[in-house]
Amino acid sequence: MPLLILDDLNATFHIAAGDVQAVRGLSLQLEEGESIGIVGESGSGKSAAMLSVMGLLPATCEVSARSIVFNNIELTRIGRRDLRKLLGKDIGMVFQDPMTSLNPLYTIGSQLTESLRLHLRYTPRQARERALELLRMVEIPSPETRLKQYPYELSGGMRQRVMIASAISCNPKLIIADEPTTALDVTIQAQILDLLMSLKQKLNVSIVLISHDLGVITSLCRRILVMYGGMMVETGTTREVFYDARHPYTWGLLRSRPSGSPQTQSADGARGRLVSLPGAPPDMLHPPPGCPFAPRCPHAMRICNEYIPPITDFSSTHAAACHLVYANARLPKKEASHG
Amino acid sequence: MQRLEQNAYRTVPPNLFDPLPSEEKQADGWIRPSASYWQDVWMRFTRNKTALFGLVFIGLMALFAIFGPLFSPYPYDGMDMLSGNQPPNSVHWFGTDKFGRDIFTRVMYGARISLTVGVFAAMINLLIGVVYGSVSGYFGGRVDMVMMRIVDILIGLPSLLYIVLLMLVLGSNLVSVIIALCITSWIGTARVVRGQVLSIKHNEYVLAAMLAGATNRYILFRHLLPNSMGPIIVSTAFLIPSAIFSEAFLSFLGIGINVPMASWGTLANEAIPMLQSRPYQMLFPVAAISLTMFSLNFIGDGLRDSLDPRLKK
Amino acid sequence: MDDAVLMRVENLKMHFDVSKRLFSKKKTLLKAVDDVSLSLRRGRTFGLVGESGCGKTTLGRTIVRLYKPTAGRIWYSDADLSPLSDAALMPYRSKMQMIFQDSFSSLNPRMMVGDIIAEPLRIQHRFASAREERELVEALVERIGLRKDHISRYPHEFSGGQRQRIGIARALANTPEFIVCDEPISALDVSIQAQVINLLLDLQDQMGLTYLFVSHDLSMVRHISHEVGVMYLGHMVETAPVHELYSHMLHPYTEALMSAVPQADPDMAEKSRRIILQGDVPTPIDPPSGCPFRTRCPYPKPICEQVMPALQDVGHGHFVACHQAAGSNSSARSI
Repeated sequence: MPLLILDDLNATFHIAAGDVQAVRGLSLQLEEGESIGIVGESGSGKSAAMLSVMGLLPATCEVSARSIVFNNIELTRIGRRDLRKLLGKDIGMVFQDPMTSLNPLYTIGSQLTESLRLHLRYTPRQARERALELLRMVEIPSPETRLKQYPYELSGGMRQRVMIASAISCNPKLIIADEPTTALDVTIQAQILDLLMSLKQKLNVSIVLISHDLGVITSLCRRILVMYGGMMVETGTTREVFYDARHPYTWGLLRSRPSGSPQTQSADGARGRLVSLPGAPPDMLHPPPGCPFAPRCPHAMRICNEYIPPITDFSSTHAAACHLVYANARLPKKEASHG
Repeated sequence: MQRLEQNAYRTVPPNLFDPLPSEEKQADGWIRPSASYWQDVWMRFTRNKTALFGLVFIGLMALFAIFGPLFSPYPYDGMDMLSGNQPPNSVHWFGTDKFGRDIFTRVMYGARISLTVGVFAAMINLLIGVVYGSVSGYFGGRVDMVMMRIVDILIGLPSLLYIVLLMLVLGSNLVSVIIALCITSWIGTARVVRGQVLSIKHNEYVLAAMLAGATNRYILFRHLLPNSMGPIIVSTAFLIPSAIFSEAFLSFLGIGINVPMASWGTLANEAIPMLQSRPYQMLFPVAAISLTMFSLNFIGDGLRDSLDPRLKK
Repeated sequence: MDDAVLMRVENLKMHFDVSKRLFSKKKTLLKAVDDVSLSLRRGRTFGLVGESGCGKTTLGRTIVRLYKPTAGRIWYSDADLSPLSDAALMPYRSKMQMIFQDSFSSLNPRMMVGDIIAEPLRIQHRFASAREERELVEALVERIGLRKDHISRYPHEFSGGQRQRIGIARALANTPEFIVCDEPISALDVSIQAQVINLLLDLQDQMGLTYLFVSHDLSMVRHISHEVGVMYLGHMVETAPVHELYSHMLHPYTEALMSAVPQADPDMAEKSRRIILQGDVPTPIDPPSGCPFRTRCPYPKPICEQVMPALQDVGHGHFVACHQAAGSNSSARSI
C-alpha cells in the first residue's frame, strides 16, 4: 500500500475577481521511503497541491479530490482541524523562508519541544533531550547554546536546519519540503541538500520536494513530476524525464538553461541563444480551455486548444499528458532528447 | 474541465491535428486589465457604506457652515432677553439659550469654527509634517537622528501647559487656538512620511532615477511623495477630527474660544448650569461634535482600507 | 588607455559607516568592497559571481557612481569618475545604466510604462518636443518585445518577464554604452529567464553594449560572459576569461562554489563531486584576518591567517588571490 495517494485533486481559490484554479486533476502515488520532486514555475500549482493535502490552505480555497489516502487513512472525509492534528506528527514541513515559519518571539528550544510535548506527550526533560539530539542530527554546532537562542540570532542556513530538525522531530513518515533552499546561497544550499539526503537515508523518510530547480530535485529524488498550469504534464524517473522527455514544456524547461553547467568541460560555442518559450504562464483565473501549455507550445495543434490531453503511460513510471503522442506522424523524433 | 479519453482520439476530426495558427495562441502572456490606482481607491471607498455616510454628513455640514448663517434670520450673538431659554420650536429650531440667542444659528457658526480649525490643522500638518518627514527620511543618517530627537522633545512637552501659556500671551481667539494645536499636530504625519520615505527610497526605481542624474527634489516629488500619498492622506484624515475635538475641548474648559463667539465647546460649556432643567441646550452642540467625530473617523477608516487594502484583515 | 577597454576600476574601496551612535569616536565600518580592480572591455560582458553579502551588488552600484567610493579610481575612457560631484557626473549619466533584480521595486507603480521609459530622457532633457520623445519610446517598446499600446498601462498589469523588459527599455533610453545587470533574471521563472538573456545578448550585438553581469547563477554567467570575476567578502578572489576560469579553477572558493551548483543531468549528478564548505560566510563588519576565506577553506595554512593574499597574474589573463593556488599553478605551468 503506498504511503500517499492523491486521486484527481482539485484546489480552487475563490477571490473577488473569480475562481483561480490552482490545481486541476492531479493524481500521484508515493511509496514508503520514496522521494518525488515536483517541478514547475510560480503559479503552476506545485505548492498549492501539497498544502491542500495538509489542510493548510486558507478557507477561501476549495479542495476536492476523488480520494486522498495517507498512511492508509482516507483524508477526504476528515475536517480541516482534525487533519492537522492527525498529520502534524506524521508529516513534517520545511518551507522556503524559515523566518516566517519560525516564531520570532520564542526560543529555538521552546519551538522544538512544543510539538514533541503536544504530539508525543513528552515530559519537559524528555523533550529537551530529544531537541538536543535533533539539533545534533541536523549538524548544528553547540546545540546547548542554540536552544536558548531566538530565530533572528541564527543565519539563514542555520534557521533552515532548525526547520528541518522540527520537521523530523516526531519521526514523520513524510517530509514536504517547499523550495527549501531557494532563499539560500549556493554553498549553503549544498550543505542543506547534503543534510536532507543523509537524513532521508538514515530515517527512511519519504520526501516530496517542491522546487523550480531541476538540479535541486535531481540531487535528492529519483522521481519527478512536472506541473504546468495546475496540471501534471509529465512524470517519470529523473532519467526518463531528463533523457526521454515527451512533453514540449519539459523540453523547453530543459533547454532554456545553458547546457554547459559549471562543472562540465564542454567547450561549446558559448553565448548562443537559449531556447526560450515565448510568452508567460497562463492566468489561472482564465486558464486556456484545452492544454494549459498550448498558447506557448511550438508544436501546438488545433486539438490542443479544444481538449485537455489524456495521460499516456510510456512505462510503469513514465507518463505525459500531450496530444503530440497521438499525432505521432507529426512528432519530430529528435525533439525527445535533450540538447 | 474536459480531459479527452484515450480511446476518443479515433473520433477526433483529422483537421484538429493541424498546427495551431499563431494568432490563436496569444502567447505574449496575459495582461490583467485594471483601473488606475485612484479609480481603484474610489471604487473600494464607495463600497464602504459607513465611510460614504461620513462623507455625505461632512459635506452637508460644510454647506451649512458656509451658507447656513447667510439665511438665518438671527445673528450668532443677537440677544433677545424676551425669548430666552425657549425649548425647540418652529421659530427657533434648536431653541434659545438664556440670553435668547438662537442655538441653531450658533451651532452653524460652531461648525464654521470647527471646520476652519480642521482645514488649517490639515494644511499646516501637510506643509510641516510632509516636508519635515521627507527631509528626515530621505537624507537619513545624522540629519535624521537630530530631526527625530527634536520631535521627541516636542512630544515630551506637556501640551496643556504650553497651550495655556500661549493663550495667556496671544489671547483666547481662533488664531491662537490654531497655533496652539499646530505646534505638535504635524508630528504624527512627519513620522508616517519619514517611515514611508525610508522604505520607498530603497526601491530600485529611485536608484534608476538617481542613475539618470535626477536631483533630490525630483526624486522626492516624482517618486517618494506620490508613493507615500496613501498613508499621508490617512494620517491627515485622522488628524482633522482630533484637532476639531481638541478645539472643542479647550473651549469647553474655557481656555479656547470665548463667548460670544460660538464654538461647540463654548456652547456645551454654557449649557452646563442648565443641564438639569434644559438639557436640549447641551444636546445639540454635543450631538454636532459627536456626529462630526464619527463621520470623520468613518471617512478615515474608509480611506485607510481603500488606500491600503493590505491593512484590512 | 587601451582602446578595447571601456572602463577600468583600480583599487576600489566602498566602506559604509554603520555605527549606530550619534557621537562615537570609533566608526564601525562595513567593508562591502575592499580593494577591487577590474577592466571592462568594450562590447564584452564581465560576469561577477559570489554569494549574498560578498559585495558584488555594491561593486556594480559604485562603478556607476550611485555611491561615492571610499577610495580608488573609476576610469571611464580617460576620465576618472571617482571624485566627481553629482553635477560633474551629469554627462556620464546617460552613458551608464543599470538593470535591476526585482521588477516590482524597479518600476514606480504610480507611473505609466511610457513615463517610466521616458524618465531618463526627461531628466537629461534629451528632447524638446513631446513628439520626438514619444517616437523614441515607441521604438524602444517594440525593440524589447512589447506593443505600442502597452505604453499607457501601469506596471502591475504586466507579468514578471514583461516588467523586466520595461526596465531594460528604460536602461536603453539614453543609448548607454555600459549597463550593469544586477541579478536581472534571478526573480524570474526558468522559462522566462531564457527570454531575457536572449534579449540582452541581442541588444549587446546590435548596440555594442558593455555589460557587468552580476549574478549568483554560475551556469548563466558562464553562458553569457567573456570574463568572470569571483568575489568573496568584498574581495575579488579570482578573475579570468570565461573558458580559462571554468577549466582551470585555482581558488578553493571558486572550486567549492562551482561544485555546489546542483546538476540537473542525472548522469552528471552521479559523477560530480560536491565540495561542501563548512559554516557560514563571516560578516563583512568583522572579517577574518589575513585571507578572508581561510575560516571555510579546506586547505588553510598558517600564512593565510596573517597575510592577505594579493591578486597574482598566473598567465592567460588569469588572476588569483590565494597563497597556495597562485604558487602551485605558476610553477606547474612553467615546467
